Amino acid sequence: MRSPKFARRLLLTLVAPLLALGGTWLLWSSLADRLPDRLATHFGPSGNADGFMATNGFLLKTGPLIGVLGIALVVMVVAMRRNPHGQRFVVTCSFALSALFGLMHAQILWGNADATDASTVVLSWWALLLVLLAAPIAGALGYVLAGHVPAPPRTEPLPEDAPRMPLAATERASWSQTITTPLCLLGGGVLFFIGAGLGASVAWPALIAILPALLLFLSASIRVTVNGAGMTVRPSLVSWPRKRIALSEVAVVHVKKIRPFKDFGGWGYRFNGAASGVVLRAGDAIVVELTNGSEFVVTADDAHTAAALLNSLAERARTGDRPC
Amino acid sequence: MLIRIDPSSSVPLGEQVAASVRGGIADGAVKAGDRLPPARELAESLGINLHTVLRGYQQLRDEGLIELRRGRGAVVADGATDQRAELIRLTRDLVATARRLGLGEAEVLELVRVELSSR
Repeated sequence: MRSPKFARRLLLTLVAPLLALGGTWLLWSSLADRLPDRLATHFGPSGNADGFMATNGFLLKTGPLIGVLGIALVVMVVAMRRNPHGQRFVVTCSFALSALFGLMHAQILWGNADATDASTVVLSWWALLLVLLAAPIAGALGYVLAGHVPAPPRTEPLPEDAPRMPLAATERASWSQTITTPLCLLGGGVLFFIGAGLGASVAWPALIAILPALLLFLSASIRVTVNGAGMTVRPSLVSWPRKRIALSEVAVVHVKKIRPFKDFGGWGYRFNGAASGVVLRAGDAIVVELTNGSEFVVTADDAHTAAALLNSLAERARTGDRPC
Repeated sequence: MLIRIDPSSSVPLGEQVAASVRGGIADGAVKAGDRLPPARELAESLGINLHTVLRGYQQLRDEGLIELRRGRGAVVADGATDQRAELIRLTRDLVATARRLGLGEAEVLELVRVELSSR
């Protein structure tokens, strides 16, 4: 049986290369009068052109490239019609690669516009940077649009030795905590001032420093909540972006001592292959093992209370003792 | 901070919220300067009315355990020690027992006054 949201993911996989193709064609035809006879299509490390192509043949060479890519991706997503994680990955790739190729072609066309001789065309460093930045952003967009893949609900009982908190059948509990790290604030501040300084001299590329600065500010203070809905992690100042783990996704929770640099290679929102999470300091962390096999980690004081509560709530949800 | 309530209990929910915070102060899990969860967030988290939570917070303020400040929310007061939380618990027991015995307000206050002047 096909997994839910398959049709949406198939459509998304197809739409991205079509947009790149259509965009390239539109730009090529709207710039047709302003392009030289041959286009500079490859640039050396200094940004000077060192590869060329006939302008008339541009679409014939670039079109099939995106076309083949699109067909390959559609074949992949159809092959993965029973694998929602795989589909989501293909959609992400489709968006990222389409943005990469589409914008690369656009930069080549823009760069060549109004040039009398293609050998004088220079590709600026920020054009390349824009392409390299846009690809992961487009990939992330594809990932979000592809839709959440719910973990299969776990029915087997929690291990005997998991920490628990005695909880009456009708009882409700809410554990919450704010974790603040001055380190992220400091890093964000430094980056922000670098960005502001850059902004004064080179205008919008300063966003490259300011956007990560905002991300650092957001992760400098986070709020963790454990309640009847599961666990929620979000910045304390705003309610988005938030990470939610439903009780049905919780396999088991325990507490582990975390060394940010050794275990996660730094501070903030981290991945390390097996685990993801918000790591703001060394010490106790709530470690949630998820039913999909991955782990989510949040550093927090009083982590033992949170872990015990989350285990008990997850156990109660599993055995069907719902609070009234 | 852990807040627990049981809708099936006969104790009003606002008082249960206050009792949770008091319990946290009494066993040392909650200390002076700690911030209580914003009332709106806690109400949503427990699935109860915002005013119920605020009633609990106001009770804690009247007991001198927390301070309510505009814009800063509810913060555990400097004087909110485990002993003070224990004293408030005893006071509540005293009042509950007196009510059970049918004593009026004047009689209870008189009892306390006598006890205070005997030392």
